[in-house]
Amino acid sequence: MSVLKLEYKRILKTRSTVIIFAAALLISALLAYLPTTFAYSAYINEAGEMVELRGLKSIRYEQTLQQGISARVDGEDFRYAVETYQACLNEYGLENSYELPGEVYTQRITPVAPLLSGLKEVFADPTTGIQPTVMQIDPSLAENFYELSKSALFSQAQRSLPEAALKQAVRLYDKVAVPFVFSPASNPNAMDYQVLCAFIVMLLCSVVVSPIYSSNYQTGADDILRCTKHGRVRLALCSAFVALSLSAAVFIACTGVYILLSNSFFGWECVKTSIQLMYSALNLAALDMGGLQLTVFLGCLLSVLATVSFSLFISSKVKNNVTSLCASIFTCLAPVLIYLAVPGSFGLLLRCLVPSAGSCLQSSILYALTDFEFLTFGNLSLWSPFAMMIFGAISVPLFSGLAVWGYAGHGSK
Amino acid sequence: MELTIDSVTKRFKEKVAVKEVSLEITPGVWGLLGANGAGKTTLMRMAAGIMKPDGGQIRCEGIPINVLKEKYREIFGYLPQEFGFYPEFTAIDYLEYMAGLKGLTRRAAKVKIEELLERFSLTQAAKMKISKMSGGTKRRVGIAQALLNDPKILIMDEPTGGLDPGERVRFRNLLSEASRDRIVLISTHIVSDVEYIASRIAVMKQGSLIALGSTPELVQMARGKVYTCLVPQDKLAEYERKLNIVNLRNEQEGKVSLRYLSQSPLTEDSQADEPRLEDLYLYLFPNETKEAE
Repeated sequence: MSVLKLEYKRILKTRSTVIIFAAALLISALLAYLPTTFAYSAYINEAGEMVELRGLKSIRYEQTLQQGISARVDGEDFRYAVETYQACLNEYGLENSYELPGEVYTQRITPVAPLLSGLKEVFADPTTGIQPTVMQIDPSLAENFYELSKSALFSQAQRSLPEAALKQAVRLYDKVAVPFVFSPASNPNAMDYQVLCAFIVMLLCSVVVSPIYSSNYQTGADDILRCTKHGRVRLALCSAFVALSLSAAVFIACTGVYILLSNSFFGWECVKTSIQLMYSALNLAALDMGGLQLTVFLGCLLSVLATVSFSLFISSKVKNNVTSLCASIFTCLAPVLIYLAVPGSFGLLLRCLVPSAGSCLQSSILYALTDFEFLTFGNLSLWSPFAMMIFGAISVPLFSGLAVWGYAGHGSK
Repeated sequence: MELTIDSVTKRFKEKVAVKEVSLEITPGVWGLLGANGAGKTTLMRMAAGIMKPDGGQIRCEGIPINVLKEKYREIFGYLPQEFGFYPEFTAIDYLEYMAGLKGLTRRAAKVKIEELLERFSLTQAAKMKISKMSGGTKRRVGIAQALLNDPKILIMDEPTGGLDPGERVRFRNLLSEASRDRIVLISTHIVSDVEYIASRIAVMKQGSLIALGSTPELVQMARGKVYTCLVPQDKLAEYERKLNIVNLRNEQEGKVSLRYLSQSPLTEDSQADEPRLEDLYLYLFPNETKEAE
């Protein structure tokens, strides 16, 4: 009989495992729906009444408003955005768009809003980095958005990065496709929830996986198992493989459900939007939102597997489930704790090294991809998302191997 | 088939749990007698390969078991004193799982599991979750798993704990039958478990082997040290303080019959009695009388 098959049966026969995995799937669906509830629009209808829209209705309405800047965004679109904004605020004699009545903002600013924050970044003071207001931007210069964005990137890199990282940042930004592409109602909130979904799946997988070896030690089942023909290395290998494959399957299922629902809610066209229009215009990743979804998916999958591997390793080393569970949960939360407690480049290095880095909320690969942080070692530099991927890819075989070795050799002293 | 335990020693920090124990174990039932803490379980765990000796070696057919590894475990069956199981497993699930780990084919496992369920009266409990079983039933499942692969070497640590008297007798008979061409080593402090079925009995005390032989040979060690006498009921407390009493029985006319251990008779009417293995056990472990059956 196949030990692998028996091990699958054993793990899946545990009721709590099935409940946890089912809960993960349900939570994913709920999380996909949640960002749609934040959408809000208001307008005055033909009868002069204010109409407030929320949720999916608001998203659909915004999509119709933003049809004007749909597809490739050229310099002319940026000039139009600045002119529209300035004209609107001048008309109402205001300095800031948030002072506008809600329905006016929705109808006149919302259609061009995705282009405005990028403009402010590109027109930032090269020395101080202080951004102007949209009212201070010369609309005729906005047409040169793409040329200006390269020099803005260089200025920002010069201000915040060492020489080696600066060169790499420029190289990366050169690969970003221009002109940017925009699809109406694209929403970066959905990406945050994709990471939250990955984080919850990672936590739940760690809960399932953490007792895999330690429970055998705790209950004494281990004494019998390791006296059997296949009860050492092969059992340890099969247990690790089952834990990793089930975690991967659950992650793929949950994130798959999340992406499927989320893109259905926001519209599949959204995946074509350049991330530079959703996050920072100076973002280094040459990705559209679909590419970002996929990259975050892969980064999170890697970190979930790395965390599961690390949990298995802990499980193979401690003799009770509570310790194993606590250590696993701590590992999941470690990047956030490091983010809060250890500043600077050392903190960044630690965050990238922790197996759970890719899926851990503020310290996730999404934040790394949309940020400007580099690990530097003398003349070498590495963009933090690459570091997370590399360390994650090393962690999976390393900790799984150590777990198998730890279990197979347990009690041999 | 021969299992050689050669000058095996195991220490836990300062405490020597097993001290230079040597045994040449051949096919048949072997009993390992000793009080709690005598080192029986530690010795068995080393023989099972789940604990490494600090000194000495354990060999099967002349080859160290840590060299044989999988080949040793293939012919090995083990039932520890306390064993864990997966709470969601039924008896059948558990036995199938163990059969897989022992390398049985699906067909062979099915046949063997059916046979063992029958033999250990587990057929009705086969689909019951182990977590819901009584202690005795769990124990029978544990014994069944140890026999799944028809082991040539079977080691059982306190196997009869939790079994009722009928089950205990059936278990002893089963072991007797099964021991014809295999080594069966049973550790126990219940003398009757091994008294009639063990071909050889090793007695351990404080980590050392202090006696080895067949039941009649060992019993000889207690010859001339077992006495019986009749004492008045009202003086029983006084005798209980003075004598190492094995057994007492109320008789007629306010008398109590005592059976006690001593180098020489301690009352005038004492008469020497035929020793039994239990007498030897209590003679060797005078402080463990409460634990003996």
